[in-house]
Amino acid sequence: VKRLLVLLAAGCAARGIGHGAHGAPSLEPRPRGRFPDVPPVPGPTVPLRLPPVSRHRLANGLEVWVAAEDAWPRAAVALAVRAGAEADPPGKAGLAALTADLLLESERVAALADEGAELGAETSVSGTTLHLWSLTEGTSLRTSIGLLAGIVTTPVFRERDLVRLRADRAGKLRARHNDPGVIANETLALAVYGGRHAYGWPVGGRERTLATVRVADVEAFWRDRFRPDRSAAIVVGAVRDDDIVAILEHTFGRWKAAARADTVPAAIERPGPRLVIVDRPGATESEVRLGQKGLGRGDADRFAADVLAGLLGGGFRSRLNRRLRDELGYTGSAWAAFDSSRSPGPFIMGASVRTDATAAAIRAFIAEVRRIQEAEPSGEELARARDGVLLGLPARFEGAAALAGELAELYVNDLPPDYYDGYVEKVRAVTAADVQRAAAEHLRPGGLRAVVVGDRRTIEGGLATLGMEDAQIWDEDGSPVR
Amino acid sequence: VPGVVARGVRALFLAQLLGAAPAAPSVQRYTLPNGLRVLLREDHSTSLCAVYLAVRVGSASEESGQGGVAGLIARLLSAGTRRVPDGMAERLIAEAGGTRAASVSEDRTGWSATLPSASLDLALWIEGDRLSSTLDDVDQERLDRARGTASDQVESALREALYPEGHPYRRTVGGAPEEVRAVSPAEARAFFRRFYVPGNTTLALAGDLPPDVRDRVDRYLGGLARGPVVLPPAAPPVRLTDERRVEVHDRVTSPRVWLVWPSPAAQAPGDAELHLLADVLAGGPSSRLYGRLVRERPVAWKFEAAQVSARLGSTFRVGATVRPGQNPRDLVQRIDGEIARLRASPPEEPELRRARVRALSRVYRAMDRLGGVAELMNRCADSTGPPDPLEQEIDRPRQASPGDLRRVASEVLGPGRIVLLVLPP
Repeated sequence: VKRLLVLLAAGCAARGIGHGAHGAPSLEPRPRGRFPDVPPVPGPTVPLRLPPVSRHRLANGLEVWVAAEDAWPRAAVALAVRAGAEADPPGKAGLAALTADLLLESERVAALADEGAELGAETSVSGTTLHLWSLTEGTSLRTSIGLLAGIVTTPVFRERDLVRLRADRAGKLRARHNDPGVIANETLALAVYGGRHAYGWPVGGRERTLATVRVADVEAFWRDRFRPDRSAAIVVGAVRDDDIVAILEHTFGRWKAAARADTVPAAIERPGPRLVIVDRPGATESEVRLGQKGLGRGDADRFAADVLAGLLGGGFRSRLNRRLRDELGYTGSAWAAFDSSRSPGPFIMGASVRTDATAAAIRAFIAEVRRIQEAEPSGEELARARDGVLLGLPARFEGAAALAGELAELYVNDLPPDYYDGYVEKVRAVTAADVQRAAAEHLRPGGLRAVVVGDRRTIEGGLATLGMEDAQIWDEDGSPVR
Repeated sequence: VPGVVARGVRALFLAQLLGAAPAAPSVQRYTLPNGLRVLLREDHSTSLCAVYLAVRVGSASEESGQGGVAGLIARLLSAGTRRVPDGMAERLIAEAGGTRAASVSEDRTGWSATLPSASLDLALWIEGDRLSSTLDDVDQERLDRARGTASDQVESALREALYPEGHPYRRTVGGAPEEVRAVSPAEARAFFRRFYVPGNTTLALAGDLPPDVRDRVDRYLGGLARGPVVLPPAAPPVRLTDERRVEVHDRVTSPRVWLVWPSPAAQAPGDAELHLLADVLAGGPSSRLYGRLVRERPVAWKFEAAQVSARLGSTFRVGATVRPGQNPRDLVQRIDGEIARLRASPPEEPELRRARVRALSRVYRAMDRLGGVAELMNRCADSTGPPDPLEQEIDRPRQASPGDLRRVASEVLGPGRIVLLVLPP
């Protein structure tokens, strides 16, 4: 052992000298300026570097988007279908998500695993996407896409799988409710939209709605909504355009749309009370949310609205954080965002606040919304908010799988694959007046719904002073208890 | 420089192997005068870069009585330093549009960040600050806050059965709670001074690197003092001649069995074969254990097999959860039937092909993000293989033959092993 150690040490030393890249090796470091005490400032925002996406359409209506990269021989494939939670029939929230789960029960998934491929599924309000990761050498990609086509276009839904997956999902929903923040988010959505609007329900449904789902529901959902003319095959990786089109023609070409139209159930907005309390006896903090209907993913005001949300609650130095965290000490972190899909999703603000500051925090949130409507933000604030929107952008597209996912998100929300061309420039062009106008147009402080998940006995007295007289107490599943 | 030629030839060879492979960007390596080894890999397809600082220190370098100190330091220096108050590093990276992570194992401590390359200086400053800190501002209270709460009883029972007294791997990563509590600020400082020095550190940078990247590295990390020479911990390979049975109680709902063999070290002959064998045994629904433990007769809920590679010697582990009404002994017998088959005859060609493509797919998946690329670069920094460690990772699964797998299985998966039974409380 001792000899081995000596050898190792000698090896290290030799490497140290042999590979020194900066001229003659020296044992002492060269003199340098003092190590700076303050961190370098972040660099400027730069245009997004995304590979070009080519667009095709098969005879059956299937959209094909291909981003061919010079990369390792692998590809990410996203099959995006415009069949999301908003298409769940009344009383069956979670059906879209369960349908996706059941597709993954296919026996073909084992064959995919043998090819080194991986398959996952994701359901959002607007769509369901199957994510495939595959090698592209030899016949790997052809085989994997063929299996994916079988999984999507000729599924077999079995009762025993449904029973098990329903129980799995219900268990996960219960586990998620250990986090009061999740309960607060779900409760706010219901308070803003009401139970007759898809946005009022969690994408995965609730235990009581999952329990009503039968195999026939899944079959009908798949038949009416999984259609080639409402789907896109998105391929990112070491592939060639014409190869992909040929493979897709061969594998998805015979997929036919059902005769029935696939309209989304009518969404009826019926906002709940101004204030909802979900009791969590003994909670040491209150999860506070405020929100209202916001704007759609493709709205022309989108860019100004994103800067607005960033300015309010997008970062460490945003207004909500400076006010609620730094000045008032109510919370460790507060945030705001427009959560958007094809149709207008909610604008939400949130924080986990000190129990004794619950009512005061709600007042402070509302005051900040009013303040931004009353005066234009300063140039420095605006620049920081724009940077906040843009600096984090490249990370969202990092890797073939992430890029395929972002493109799928565009497809299900009816946006084109070149949506992000010029995006950086458009955000940079947002002015202080644009932000103030967007705040005036899209925020209505009088119409905000508030939700508190916390210890009712401790916070109720304070909340009564807010003057929100129609306050109600709901349980964690959104049912009024009083 | 001979390396360039070798790289060129290698790239050509690889291109033939892969068919239409891209011109893979190669890794440049150099060493700063203070001993810090730097690995660079340019890839300008995004505007991001990853900065990954890896120090060759972990729980294996801890001495008795200071168990957990490596984990404490990883967390302490992730939270902050004298120049960067607690939480500030997280905030600086997030405000620049990046993400970061810290990790610690037996052999290595790593801090990493992926962020827009326009902010590369910020990430380098944070790493330079980390290594130049002295921990002299660390008091008992900050140490207490850095302590984790988790203790892994199953892992510590396994290690106590597998490694002799004094073996560097006998302690778990993170240490036993009572040991961690006993670490004093002075001990943490001494440990830091001894091991966290440039000569014991590699810095991997991957992504959209600027042309003057070497100057920038020099600006923020070149000024660090060389520090003492660090010898990595050493130990002879563990050999078991017979089976040892261990029972431990843990918070599980059904009993779980673990079969564990000491196995060849990371990147040593046999390591790659054992990774493939683990996949033949338990990778996916076509694996042998799926057939034996689920399809044939459902006796196990969840099963897995893995070669857990480490520098001083690895472990090959097979684990399975017993279904209610089933007998752990019967489960072990069924698994043993499959182990005996692996030792007796080579896997079928389709099985090996499957294991190979699955391994390859996982490597590409890991390399889909720059943080994964930088991690692999660091992990292969010590190896003497091809100049691009990523090519090496891609190549490894292709080399082993069915005969190699049988030979390694019969050498490694013998009677000397630990059988660990985890029981509900």
